[in-house]
Amino acid sequence: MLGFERYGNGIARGMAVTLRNMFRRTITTQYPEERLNVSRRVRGNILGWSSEKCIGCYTCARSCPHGCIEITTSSRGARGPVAAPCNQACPAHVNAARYIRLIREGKPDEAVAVVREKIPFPSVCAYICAHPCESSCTRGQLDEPIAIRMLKRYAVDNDTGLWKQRSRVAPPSGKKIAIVGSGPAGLSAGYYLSKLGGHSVTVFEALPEPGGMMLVGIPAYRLPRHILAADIKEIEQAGVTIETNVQIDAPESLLEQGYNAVLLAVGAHEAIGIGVPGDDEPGVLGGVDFLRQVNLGRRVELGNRVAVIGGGNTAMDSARTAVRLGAGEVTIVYRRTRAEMPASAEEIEDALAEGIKIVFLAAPSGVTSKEGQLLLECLRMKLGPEDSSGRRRPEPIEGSQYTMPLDNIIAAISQRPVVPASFAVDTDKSNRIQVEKETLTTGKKAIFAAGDAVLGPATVIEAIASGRQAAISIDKYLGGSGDIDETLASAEEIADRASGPSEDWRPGVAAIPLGGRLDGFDGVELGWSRESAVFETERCLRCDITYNVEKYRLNGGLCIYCGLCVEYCPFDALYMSYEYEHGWYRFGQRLLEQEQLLVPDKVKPSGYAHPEIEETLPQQTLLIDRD
Amino acid sequence: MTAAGTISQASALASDWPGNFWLHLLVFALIILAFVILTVIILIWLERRLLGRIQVRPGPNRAGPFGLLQPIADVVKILTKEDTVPGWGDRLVFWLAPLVAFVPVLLVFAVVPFWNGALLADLNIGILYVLAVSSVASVGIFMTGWASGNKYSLIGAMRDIAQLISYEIPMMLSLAAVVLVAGSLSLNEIVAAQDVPYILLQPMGFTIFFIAALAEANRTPFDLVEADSEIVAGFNIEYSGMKFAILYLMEYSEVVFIAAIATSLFLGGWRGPFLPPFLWFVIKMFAVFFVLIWIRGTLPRLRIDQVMAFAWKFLLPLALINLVVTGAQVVFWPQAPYWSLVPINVTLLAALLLLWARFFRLGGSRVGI
Amino acid sequence: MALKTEPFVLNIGPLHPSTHGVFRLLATLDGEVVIDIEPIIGYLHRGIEKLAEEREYQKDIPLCDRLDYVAAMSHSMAYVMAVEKLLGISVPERAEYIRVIMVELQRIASHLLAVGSIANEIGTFFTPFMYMFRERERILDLFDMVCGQRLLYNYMRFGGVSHDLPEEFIPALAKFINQMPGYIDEYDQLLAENEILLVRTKGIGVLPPELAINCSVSGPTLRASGVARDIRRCDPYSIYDRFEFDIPTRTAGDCYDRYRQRIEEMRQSLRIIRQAVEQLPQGKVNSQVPIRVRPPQGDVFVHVEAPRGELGFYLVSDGSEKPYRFHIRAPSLINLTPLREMIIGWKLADAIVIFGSIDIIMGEIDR
Repeated sequence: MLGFERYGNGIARGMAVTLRNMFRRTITTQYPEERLNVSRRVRGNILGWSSEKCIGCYTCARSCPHGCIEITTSSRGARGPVAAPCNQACPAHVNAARYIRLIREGKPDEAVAVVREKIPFPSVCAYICAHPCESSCTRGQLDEPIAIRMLKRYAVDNDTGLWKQRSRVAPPSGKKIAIVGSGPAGLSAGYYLSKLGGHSVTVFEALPEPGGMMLVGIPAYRLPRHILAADIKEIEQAGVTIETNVQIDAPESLLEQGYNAVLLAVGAHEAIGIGVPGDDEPGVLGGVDFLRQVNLGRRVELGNRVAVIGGGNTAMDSARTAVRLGAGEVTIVYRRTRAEMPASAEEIEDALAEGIKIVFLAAPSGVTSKEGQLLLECLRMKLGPEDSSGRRRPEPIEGSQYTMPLDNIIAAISQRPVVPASFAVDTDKSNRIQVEKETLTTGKKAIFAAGDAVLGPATVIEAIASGRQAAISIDKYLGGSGDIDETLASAEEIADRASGPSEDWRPGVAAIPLGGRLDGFDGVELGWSRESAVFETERCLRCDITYNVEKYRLNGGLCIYCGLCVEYCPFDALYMSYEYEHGWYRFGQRLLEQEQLLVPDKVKPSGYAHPEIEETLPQQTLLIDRD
Repeated sequence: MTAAGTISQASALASDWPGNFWLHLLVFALIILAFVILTVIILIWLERRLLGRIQVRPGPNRAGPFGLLQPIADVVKILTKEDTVPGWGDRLVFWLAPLVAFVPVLLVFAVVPFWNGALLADLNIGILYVLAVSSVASVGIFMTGWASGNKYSLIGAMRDIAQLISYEIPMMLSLAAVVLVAGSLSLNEIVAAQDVPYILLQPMGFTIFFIAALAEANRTPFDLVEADSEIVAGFNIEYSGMKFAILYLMEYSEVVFIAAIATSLFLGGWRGPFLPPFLWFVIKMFAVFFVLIWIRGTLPRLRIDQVMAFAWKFLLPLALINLVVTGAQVVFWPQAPYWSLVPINVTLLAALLLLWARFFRLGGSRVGI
Repeated sequence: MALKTEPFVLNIGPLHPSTHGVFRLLATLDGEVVIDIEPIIGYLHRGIEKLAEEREYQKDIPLCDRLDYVAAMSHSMAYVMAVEKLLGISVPERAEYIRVIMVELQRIASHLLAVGSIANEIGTFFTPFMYMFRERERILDLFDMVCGQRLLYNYMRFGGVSHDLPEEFIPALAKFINQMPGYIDEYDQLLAENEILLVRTKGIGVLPPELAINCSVSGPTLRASGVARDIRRCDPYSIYDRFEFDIPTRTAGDCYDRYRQRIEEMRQSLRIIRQAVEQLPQGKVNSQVPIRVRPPQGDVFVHVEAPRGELGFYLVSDGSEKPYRFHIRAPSLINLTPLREMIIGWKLADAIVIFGSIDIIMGEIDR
């Protein structure tokens, strides 16, 4: 066994270390000083609550792992409503928060009236809206956003036409307006100009039926045609004349015909090609072109193997339409991953459910034709750093080419407006009509533009918002007030709420079974029952109403300072800060002087994790002050 | 000049200084009690502060200036604790044990000279008395271990006995060498004989004495008696209140005792220039304290079999050799000048230590079960 | 004449300074020699697995911190990785780097505690312990900076981490990783060649590699026995395949090697942190996963190299917001398996050192 063959050398070295350390500055004296200069805590020992910011949504109580937050609210002295995030996120500013409450109270007709206050296409939006409101829903940070579109659909399905009672119609103004294109933008503008501006509106449509992209871009299984027709009928009843099969070549000619103003809402109907060699081979179709042919009832010959290039809603629509047309093997090729796909999540789910394959991280590099079949050459991609849009940029992997034998390729990458040269308006390089942002005026007098023609390929709700903007602008141009708002729903009383939003998840949405789906173009999604809809409305946090929080108590004995409540509070009403050093200094000036543990001139609080909290400090309730 | 001068000055004191026998006894008993308790208090404070500094922390600094009142606070805390006796223990022995442990340590100071002749009793068998009486303290420790009725304290007590028996021998042999050089058993005379501190004349003796004294006083690296990571607190695990305070006092008194003996026998005791002799004595004691605390702050603990092996295989042979060499020096070269003896002895120490360390093995391995 | 002796039973723990919590070692002693031991666990049982099954996924993150409270970052990272695998979500680059920095800092902090307490159990009066806590304190300060907590961080989130690094963090971290090698040298100077430490640890409590593998031992305890198995290398997770680092091993498998092994691993962790700080990209630290999650049905097993060994999380999801089964493969518990073979025949004092050199944390043993 061992002994001391190193003659105590190790012991001597150890003794040297301890002797040296005897003359070091002690850690407990240098510790707080250094700490003051570096440490900036996120969570501290003080947990505070701001009554100003708290709306009584109970999220903190629900997020606490120990259930130590106790909160009671009432509507007494409740403030609001203010614009909720869903309301703000909607391009047309539909007050979703309010109609959700109306649905909960069992008034779907009032709910439709609320929607009608802002958009003339409640049914269309109820079926196919891209719902930016749901993306910004506060509940979405917690678990799943409120299913605002489905709730709207429930309201629309149970509408009694109550809104018409309070509908107002402006006296005729005697002015004539021509609108080119009967899409959502054109028809919305026409509706408001006719109903609330009192103008005489004529809509010209090149295709045989009105509806624009709602008709030819969106397959009937998503938006059944009778729903669209019903909304358009309401618009026609408001006094808008629609002339189909009329191609307008020059807006000036309309002005010469006696129209006082012209709105160009021609949409974005031209598909952009893949942009690789061979993308003009026969069998390569454009996404919107393909959808237009199918939706107008024209026959499109598709082979068995179809690839759809792109990751947006058009790609999903094209793929699902191709399946319904009998293509056996449909593949979507997308260059990023599912997380980056712009198509809405339920579309992707449905596409996968219908047997469509999605190839991620692949991009086409060329198309060749051989013996009647197409060969799509693809490159494998990998995700690089984030680009300006916040999505990770795909980068090709060298030498990873592979080919797919196909019968048809549908390029659903993007669309752009078709603006004939005869319009003689300024366009940018993606063919969008250049307008002034606020007024939507083109460079020419009395000619306005709206919708996809201005925005590029966008959503229906954005087009409607653009149409509303155009209506205001044209009304003002024609000497009107520009006021196209109306109050259709009755005034609201804030109902009491004691228990807070429910903790449940979205109820499932019924759909026609998969077997029955693929044969035709019937609407896939079925509506909600009253129970499901009310169940869903219970989940709403009601961000727009500040309830009166009668009691807010935190059980300090159970609290473990995990900070989840602070992190999860959607309204920054809770904060954690620290006054640890602060406290020590106060204590120290009296007691610790002898050893100069703390140098008095460095006395300062270390700052809060959220500096803006400091301004609101006096109104805050200190829940716990540890130490 | 100074050493001789101080001695002559101190010799002016009568041997039964300061007065008649009983007064002398009373005064010195009080002085010793006060000295020991005061030194222990300062030692406790010093140990905690120095360990703090070694461990890069300030140590106790709240009670009084520089935490000087910390031992007082400790005492107040200890004395206000409930005084418990384990029900399964031996009640009488449990009560008696702290006294049996503490009194012998206090008795040792009777022969420690604080000044020339300033001691309770200048016994002519001083060293023998020291060794004999100090061993009794271990009986007290064993009594604590036995009476507590606790396995941990029993293990601690057994370790103490084993350790004490082993280390008494090298300690005695090393002191015998000092006695040989000084030619007297009286501590006062040994101090008076140290024209050169015996640490230089007897480096080997000092080394062995110091190591053995560490073991006697149960200091790191031989603190197996109370090895807190193994047997929690060892012999005093069941003690509380005043009895614990006495045991605590005993432990630190032992440290004071080995420091006093080391000072008297090897460091020249009260002798020193300029300063009064008493101060020299205290300064040297505190130098020893410092080394003890420094060692405590650095070294790990040995295992019991290693402790025993170290005593029997390492210290005992060296102590014997040292005794023989010293005896030879005294017999054959009695008039040897210091300047020749010091280098010879230091070289001898180095050579022997290195040689022994080279061939020495602690032994001890896994026992087959 | 031999004295008649008989063995006696000594109850070490659960309240004992060297049991790293509330471990109980029922030792049968023959004099000082341990002739039999029986480890008894369960004094810190909090029912964490069942508790976790009763809570939503995100509320289990603070719970996972409480498994191994000395390496909370590693544990919550393993759990979060398991849920991410269940959810099929990816983590932003920057968050991955932050996680690696945090977990490696945590490894250093945990090893500092382990080595410090081994030194304590050998009997140094808290000096190496305090030196190591001095540096551990700085790591805790760094953690404090990023998440406001010093022990139970609750920092990991599904899809990233809860907060980005504050601006003062990187300079403070750089200062730390520049100074730390010097401090590790100081520990070596104090302990590595100390003769008393050598005689107390060399050759004591040898764990042969065969036994270690048979007992499924992992982590530094296994690598000290000469088996180079490290999950970071043999099944790289997160972004560990991007870093250059060694898997140090020792040969003897005794207490000394287990102590040296941890010192070496600290140096390797510093290497990883240094590289991670150099490569740290900009960007998001969280991929905006909702707070409450509802993973699809299925089960996952994720294992990471925690400071004490291979830490595994086995989760079964039934599609609800609470895990259906929540199982932890706790390295400390499994590393205790060969304890009896290692301790028997050694003395009481050795038993404590052997036990300490395995470095267990009762929080994850009893869970």
